[in-house]
Amino acid sequence: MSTPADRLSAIQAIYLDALNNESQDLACATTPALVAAVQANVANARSTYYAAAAAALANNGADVETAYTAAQTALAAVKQARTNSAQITTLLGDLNGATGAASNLLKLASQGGA
Amino acid sequence: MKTKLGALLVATFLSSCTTVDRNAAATLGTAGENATQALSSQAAQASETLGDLNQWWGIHDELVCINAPNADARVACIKGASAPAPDPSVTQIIDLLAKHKQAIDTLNQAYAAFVDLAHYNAGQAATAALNTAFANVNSFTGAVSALPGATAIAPISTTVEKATAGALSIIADNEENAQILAANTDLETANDALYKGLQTESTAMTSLLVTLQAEREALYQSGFDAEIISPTDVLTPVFSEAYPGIHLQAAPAANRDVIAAAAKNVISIENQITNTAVSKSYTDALATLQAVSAQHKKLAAAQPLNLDQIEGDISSLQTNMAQVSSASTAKK
Repeated sequence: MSTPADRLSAIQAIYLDALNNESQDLACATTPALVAAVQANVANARSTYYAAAAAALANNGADVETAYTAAQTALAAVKQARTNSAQITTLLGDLNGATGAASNLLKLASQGGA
Repeated sequence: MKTKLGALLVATFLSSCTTVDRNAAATLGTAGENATQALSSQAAQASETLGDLNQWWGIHDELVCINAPNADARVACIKGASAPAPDPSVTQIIDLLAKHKQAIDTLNQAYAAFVDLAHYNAGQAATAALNTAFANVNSFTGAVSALPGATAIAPISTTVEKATAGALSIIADNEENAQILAANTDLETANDALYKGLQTESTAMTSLLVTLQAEREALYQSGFDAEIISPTDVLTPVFSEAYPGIHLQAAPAANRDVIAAAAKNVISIENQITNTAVSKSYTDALATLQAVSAQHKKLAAAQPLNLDQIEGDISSLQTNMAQVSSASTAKK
């Protein structure tokens, strides 16, 4: 079973990936809409991470474990897309999937979130 | 006559059972002051960086727009990167760190009062300082219960007032000894509660401190990419340390990409070192509190103190904090 530290670490990894790759992702964003999507993803990943750092993340249960695994899988998909030099639209789909998974993990693992 | 004889008997009894090595108490109090001072600087540094975050994001989010591949994208990026509103979770963590620092600072003052108590009759001041420290430790341990992996920490209460009230004022020396022992017990209690608080917040704080380093690196990187930071400035300290007195000249344009890559490596390695120091500083802080508590037990049991462990832990904490601080200063 995952611990609160594991969950925070999974959410942190998603934020740091978005933050550390933002310049490269923006370099691929050729339209204002794509730029806005990259920026929104970083902002969402950021607020999710800081909210998680201030939350207990103590709820346990099958749904939390599923969300934890989903967050890890979603980040792996982002990394794979980067390795494959995927199109920005594909990468953005993966980025949003990872940030959404982080947000879902935060919600389910937080007290009263389930 | 009977009353005087009774008081004399009580005085003889108490003075025979309430003894304390005052020099040892004063030495331990000073060690506690030093330990809490080192711990306070750790909390201050993290709090300061968190307080700067919004400004960092405001700068980074704009500067990173130089990567946008065309004019339309660049305009959209600058527009979308307007100054972010303060993040409520960051504000919550800053509040927690303020409580953390307040608990440590008031415990530091309680240690100073304990040193005074060991030297002269300063029971009232020590009692007041301990009560303040306990209130702040309770406030901190209450706040950390909201953090990842937290378990509730029971509030603590002082005993020094009871010792003061129960002592016979006609036997001043004995009363002071009783106060010193009660204050010693209270300081141990406060140390233990602070230890639990720090241990509870360590999951969140270790994660945060590593993330703050990443935020620092991202800010730096954006300034670097925007060419407002010179790669030569980054490389100069490294060359100077290897070859004192060396002077780096401006790089030829054809070599700028290589020099920029070398400077990025320096930043990345510095951050890895700092991250290790950050994690180690937390372990050191916990070890320091544990070492101080162990000596409180020895003082209570009238055993000789050994402050080597405390001094070693403080030294290690200060070394790691200096490492973190020098990395932060170099990049500011």
